[in-house]
Order: sequence, then structure tokens, then C-alpha cells
Amino acid sequence: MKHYTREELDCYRNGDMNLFSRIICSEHLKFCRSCHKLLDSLKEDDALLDELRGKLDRLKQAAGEANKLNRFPENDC
Amino acid sequence: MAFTTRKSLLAKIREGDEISWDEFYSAYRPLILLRGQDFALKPTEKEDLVQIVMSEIFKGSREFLYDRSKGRFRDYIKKIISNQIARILRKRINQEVPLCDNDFSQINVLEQAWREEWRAHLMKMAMSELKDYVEPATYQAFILYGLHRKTSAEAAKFLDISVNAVYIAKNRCMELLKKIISDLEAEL
Repeated sequence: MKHYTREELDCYRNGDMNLFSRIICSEHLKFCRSCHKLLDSLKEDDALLDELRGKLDRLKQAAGEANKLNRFPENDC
Repeated sequence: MAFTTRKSLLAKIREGDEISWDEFYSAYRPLILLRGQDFALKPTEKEDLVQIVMSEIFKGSREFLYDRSKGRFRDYIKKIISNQIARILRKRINQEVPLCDNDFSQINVLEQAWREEWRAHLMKMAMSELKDYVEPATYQAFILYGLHRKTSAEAAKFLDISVNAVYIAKNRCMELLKKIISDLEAEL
């Protein structure tokens, strides 16, 4: 039995696979635990990427706000 | 083995090498600013906080050498930041400026906030480390597809590579990134 690679499963879930291949992959995933597990791990990676984007944005925002204020010093009067 | 020969900040901390002021400043300033935000420090106070934390760490030198016998680096820097925030807040009391809502009475909330900020900081460091471990094209594909949310087709077209190559780059970077984050969690 041929198992799918991470990249092939990425193609499958992101619609980069042709219809025929997609149907075959979908059928395969119904009974292949190993490929299903791999698909789940890709979803976990998505969650980590979401977290990464959020956290990096937060740091960037904190530094950006401070930089903006440094360029235009606030008027305390 | 690293893709470049540049020694990362993490490697320097790990191997007990000296770290320059500029390098430390650019890596830790956002974390210190975020911590100041938790205590609702004013913009000028947050900038003061960055400066005094830096001074406290570098103690007049241009280089900083971390002594691992002081314990975990995250606890060391957290203690310095907390002490300096306390100093700023005490200064406010002396000036009869009211304390913010997020003062030291909300310990649990502040602890949770620190954990999230530290994780954000680790992720930033991990990204910087990752850059040294993969080829520039791989890193670029990861940034476009993984961070900037370009579609695989857009990233592939921009970089003139196949869609499959974009996914290979993303998966390679994710694998490394998880390993680096886990190493950082254990070491810092």
C-alpha cells in the first residue's frame, strides 16, 4: 500500500491536487490510520503557525508603538 | 550543522560567549516593552525600563557574559525586569501618581502574561535561529507561505519554484522550528 507524503497531503488539503488524485487520496484516508495521523500533524503545524504569526505580530506591535513614540515625542504639557 | 557561520544569540548564551549590547537590545527590547505594557507603564516609562534593564544586565560593559550558575536565563531576566518595574511603580507612589490596575496584586494574571510573552520571545529567537539553518530560498518560501499567508501557488510563482517545493520548504522549516523551540524551552 502506498502512503502519502506530507507534501502530497498538503496538496490534498489545499486543493492543489487534481480531482482524480483527490478522490483516491480521500478514499485512502478513510482507512489508512498512518496517513490520517500525518494529516492531523499538518493541522497541528497550522495551529503552531497561527500562534507564531500572533506572537510575532504582538512583539512587532509593541516595538513599533514604542518606535513611533520615539519619533514623535509625546507632549506632557 | 548551521547553514551560515554566524553565531546566533542562543549559541552564545549556550556556550557562555560574550553578547554585544546591540545584539541583546534588538533581541530583548520587544519582550521588555511587552512586560512594561502588562503593568500599564507609560510610553516613556517603558523606554526607561528598557534602558535600565539593559544597564542592569550589562553593568557598564559593552559585552554581557551569562553566568549559568545564576540559574535559568528566563528567571534571571524576569527578575531583573520585575525589579525595575517595581522601582518605576515605587517612583510613581513617591510622585503621588496612582498605580495602574495591573499592579502586583494580580499575580496569576501577570504570571500567565509573562509565560505568553516569554513564549513569543522564544518564537522570535527560534525564527532567527531557523534562518541560519536553512538555505535562503527555503526560508523565503516558509515566510511567504507560512507567515505571510500567501497561497502555495503565489509563493511558488514569486520564487519561481514548484508548489511541491513550497510545501517541502514549509515542512522542513516546521520540523526544524519545533526542534529549535523545544531546545530553547529546555535551555533558557
